[in-house]
Amino acid sequence: MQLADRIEKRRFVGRELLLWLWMESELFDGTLHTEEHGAFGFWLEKQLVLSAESESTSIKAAAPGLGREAKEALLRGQLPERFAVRISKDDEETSLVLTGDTLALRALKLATVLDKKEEAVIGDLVDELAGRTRGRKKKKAESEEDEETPFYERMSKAAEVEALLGTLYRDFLRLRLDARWDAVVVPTMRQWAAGEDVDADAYRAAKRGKSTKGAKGAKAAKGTRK
Amino acid sequence: MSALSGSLSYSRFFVTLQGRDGTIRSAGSAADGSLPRGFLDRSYEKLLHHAMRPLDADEPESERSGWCVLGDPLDVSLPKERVYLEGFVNLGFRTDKWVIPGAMLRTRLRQAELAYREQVGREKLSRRERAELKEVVTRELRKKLVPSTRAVDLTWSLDEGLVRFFSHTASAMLSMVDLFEKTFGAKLVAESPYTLASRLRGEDDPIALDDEALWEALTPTILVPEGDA
Repeated sequence: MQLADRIEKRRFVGRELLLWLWMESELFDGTLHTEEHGAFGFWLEKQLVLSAESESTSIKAAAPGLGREAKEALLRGQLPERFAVRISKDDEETSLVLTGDTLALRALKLATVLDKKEEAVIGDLVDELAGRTRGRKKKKAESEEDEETPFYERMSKAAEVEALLGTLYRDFLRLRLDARWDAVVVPTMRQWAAGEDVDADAYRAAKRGKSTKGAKGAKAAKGTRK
Repeated sequence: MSALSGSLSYSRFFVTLQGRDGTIRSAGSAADGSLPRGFLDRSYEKLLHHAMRPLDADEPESERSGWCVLGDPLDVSLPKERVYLEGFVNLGFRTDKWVIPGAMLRTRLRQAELAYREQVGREKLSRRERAELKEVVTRELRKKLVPSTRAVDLTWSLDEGLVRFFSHTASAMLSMVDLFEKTFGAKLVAESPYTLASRLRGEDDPIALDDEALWEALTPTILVPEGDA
């Protein structure tokens, strides 16, 4: 199989990564963990788009993954196409839109940019309530500061975000390519999507269980699934 | 499409180099992933060769792409110190295009056809005559307009062997990949769930994350068995 074919036929894995991140974020109350990065905040915000073939569901809400609409879309066979996510680590907040098929990053707002914007928004509201109209000037100043943000700092912070997401993807693949995916993750996903109670601690312990190397175990697990 | 301000939206491409023995290896990611000695000096000449050459109204091309300075589309001189910076190759991918408003072209073409019909004393024009008139009118109108210019920032992190291209537009990505390969002689592989896996492989991983047999066996996860959905 040509590289281009291998890439195209395996894009679904990116959507499954998004699904797994979404589920883990909810099960672990918005706190994920990797060996390299320790614990950090990770939660869906603002937008979630799910799709399957011609059917699509777009949810815009503060916490778009929490409602039944999103889970119902999953139960109709849709998978997350993209979502906006907030990452909070070491007192720094980053937001971005993650796309499943390509794993491309969009609208990545780095910690420095986010901080300034939020300060500006708060400042604007205070000004507005006080009857002052300084908001626009503040935004202009903010945009000038943005442009002066050193290129290397921006690239370095972008690389840090990519490294964090890369580690999450690696952890996901360790499960996805292992028998634990079918034996542990998929049954938990089904419970979670159906709105049933999920024992997050039991899930955490089970997914940390001994890795079963190769797809043989996965196939065996598939065979026992109803 | 800027790397310098605002939020960032970009596509990632892995840089691969072909060795003398024909093997493809990732540039920057592996222990042997360093660029060949003198690579950047040699590539600078090619870079200048592929610098953006602004469109001329008398040339037949309606669109052209080339390199410019990152963040400064009008600077196509590509000074070395602005391109090669502390482990990065920074460039702008500039595309110029003649965009003639349809209504303007149709009106001017009609006028030209009328004048030509009177001149030759014929009511009907051949297809070839009409095509030639269109070409003449297009060139005439181009002289009155300026081409549209679009520039997308690109930064190649040499240590990571990774190109960040600040656009998701498929046509821009295709043109950029083509120009990059012509300029640097290195192939770009677009990031995808499959291609990223090979870069994440850790030495202590119990399984190879890019193991072809494991990927070949993967089938999409089905949360709801058929019939229950």
